[in-house]
Amino acid sequence: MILLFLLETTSSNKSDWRYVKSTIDFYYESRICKYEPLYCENKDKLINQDTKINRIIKKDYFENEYKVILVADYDREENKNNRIIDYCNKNKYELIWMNPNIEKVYLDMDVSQADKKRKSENFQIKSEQLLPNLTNILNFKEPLKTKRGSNILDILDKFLKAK
Amino acid sequence: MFKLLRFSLYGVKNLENEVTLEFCGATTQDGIKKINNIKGIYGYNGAGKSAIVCAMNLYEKLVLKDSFLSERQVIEELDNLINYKRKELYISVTFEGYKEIIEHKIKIKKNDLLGKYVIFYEEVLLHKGRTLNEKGETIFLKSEDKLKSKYDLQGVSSEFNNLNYNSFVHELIINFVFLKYKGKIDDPRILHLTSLIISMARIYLFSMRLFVYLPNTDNYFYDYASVSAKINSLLKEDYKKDNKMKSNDEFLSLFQKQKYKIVVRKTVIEEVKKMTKKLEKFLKIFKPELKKIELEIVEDKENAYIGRIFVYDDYKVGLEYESAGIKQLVEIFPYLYNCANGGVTFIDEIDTYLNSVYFEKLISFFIEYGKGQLVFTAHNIEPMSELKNQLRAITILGVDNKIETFTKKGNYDPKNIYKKGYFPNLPMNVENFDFLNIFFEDEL
Repeated sequence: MILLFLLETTSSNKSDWRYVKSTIDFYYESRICKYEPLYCENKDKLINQDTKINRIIKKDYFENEYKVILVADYDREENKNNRIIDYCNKNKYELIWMNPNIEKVYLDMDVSQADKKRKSENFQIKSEQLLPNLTNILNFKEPLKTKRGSNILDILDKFLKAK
Repeated sequence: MFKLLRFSLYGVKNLENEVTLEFCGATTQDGIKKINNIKGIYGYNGAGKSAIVCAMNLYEKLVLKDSFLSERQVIEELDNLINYKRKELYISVTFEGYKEIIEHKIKIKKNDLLGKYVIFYEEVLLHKGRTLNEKGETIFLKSEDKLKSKYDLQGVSSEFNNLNYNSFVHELIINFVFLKYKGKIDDPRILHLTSLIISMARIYLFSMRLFVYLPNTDNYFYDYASVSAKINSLLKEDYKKDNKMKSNDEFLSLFQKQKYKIVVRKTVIEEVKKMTKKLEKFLKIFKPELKKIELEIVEDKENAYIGRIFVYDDYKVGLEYESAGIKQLVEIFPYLYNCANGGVTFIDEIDTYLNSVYFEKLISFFIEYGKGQLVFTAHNIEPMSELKNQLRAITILGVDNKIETFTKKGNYDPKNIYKKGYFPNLPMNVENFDFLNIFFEDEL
C-alpha cells in the first residue's frame, strides 16, 4: 500500500511533510507501507491534484493499493474548508485537519512564511522529546471542535501499525 | 553442465520465513525452459541478502566436507547463524544435471545432549513433472533416525553411521562408494544401488560446481581436480561432456589462500603462473596502469607460498597494500572465472568497491556471454538497466523476508521503481531531514 500525502507546502520548503513524517516515524512501525508526499504549494492546489494522482497510480508497475490523504490547515473562510471536505468525500480521500494550522498544532505558535522551514527543522530535531507531549493534541476524532488539534493519529491508525 | 533451478531456505540469520529463489520457467520432457543465468538480489541493509549466500555456502560444505558439522568452529558459527526463533535451518536445492532434475533438502538443528548440530532431515527427490511445483519422487529420505529409500538399503544401511554430521550424499559417495568399495559401483553387493549412487554423485558434482564468495572469509577450495575426476569416473558417459569444467576446477584450486598468500602444492606452480596472467589481464581492465603481477614464491618440502606483487611504472606494491577495490577484484576473480565457464556462483556484496560503470559492464558480460549462473547481492542499482531484460534477474528481498521479482513490462525502469520505494515490501521512506535529529540533536 502507498499512502499519498497531499500537502500545503512546496517541495523546496517541505515544512508540513517534516511534521507529518516525524509523527509517522514516532508513533508507527516502520516499513508497513510507502509514504509519498505530494507538494501542492497551497490550499487551492490541494484540491486540484487528480491528474497528478491518476498519473502516479497509472504508472505504478506493481499496481499498489493507494490511499490519498490530504493534510489541510483549517481555514477562516468556511467555503474553502467545505470545498476540501467535498473534494475528499467525492474522491473517497482521507482528510487530516491541522486546526488552526500545522505550526499551531505542533509548536503552539504562529510562524511567518519565511520561518516555516527553519521551525519545522527545529521541530524535527527535537521531535522525540516534543511528540510525547502532543499525543492528545494529535489524536482528536473531531479536531474542528477544539481550538488546537489534529486527527492525524486517528487517520493514520487506519493504515499503520502503532509501535 | 549443471543448472540451479530453485533454491529455498529458512532459519538462517534473520531469514525466519521460507525464501525461494526461482531460476527457471516450466519444465518439459525435453528439459527446462528459460533458465536464468543471472540474478541480482537487492534489499535493505540487513534484509537477509547475505543470509541467502551464507546458506548456499553452508550447503556446499554440508555436501562436500567430511563431518563438517562436528567441527568446533562450525558449531560456534551455527550458534550465531541459525535464526533464534526458528531454531532449525532448512536448505533445499533443486538443479538439473544431464537431464535429471534433482531436489536435495536438508534440515539441521542443535542436539542439546550432544551440544552439536545434526542433520535431522534429509530428502532427495527426482522431478519428472512439468513444473517444479509438482512433487517429485523421493529416492532417499532420512527423518530423525529412520532411513527410507526407493532402493533397497537393507544390508548396507549400517554402513552409514555418520549421518548426523554428514549428508547422505557425502556418506554414500565418499565414505561408502570410494572408501569401502574403491569406486567400483559394479560390485555385485551394491549393483542394485547404481541409480541411487549416480543421482547422489550428481549432487556431489553439482556442489563442487558451486562457488560461494562471502567477504572477509578465507576462500577454501577443495582438491577439485582429483575428486572431480574420481566422481566423473562414476558417471562415465558424463565425463567427456564435462571435461571443460575439470580445467576450471584445477584453476580454482590455484587460488587457495591464507590471508594474502596463495598456498598450493609445489607441482602446480607453473599453473599458478599461467593463471596469474589471466588475473593480470582482468585487473588491467579496471586499472590499465598495472604493468604486471610478479610472484614471490617460497617453497617448503610440499607446498609453495606465493605472494603477489603488483608492478606499476614507478613502484611495486604487495597485494596486502593494494587498494580495497583491487583486493576485492583479486578475491572474486576465480569465482567469476568459474561462472563464466559454466559454474554456479554466488557472490555476496559484489559491488562493495567496484566502480559503478565497470560493475554494470561486468554484469552485462555475464548476461551476454556467461555460460554459468551468477547470483549476487548488491546495493548498486546501475546494473538493473541490464538485468531488467532478463527473466527473474532482479530479485528484491523485502520486509518479513518477502521476495519480489521484476519482470520486464513496457518501459518501466526498475531503478526508478526501486529508488522511489515502490517495490512491494520495500518502501523507501527515508528523507534527508531524517538525519537532522541524529547529527544536530544537541545544537538546540
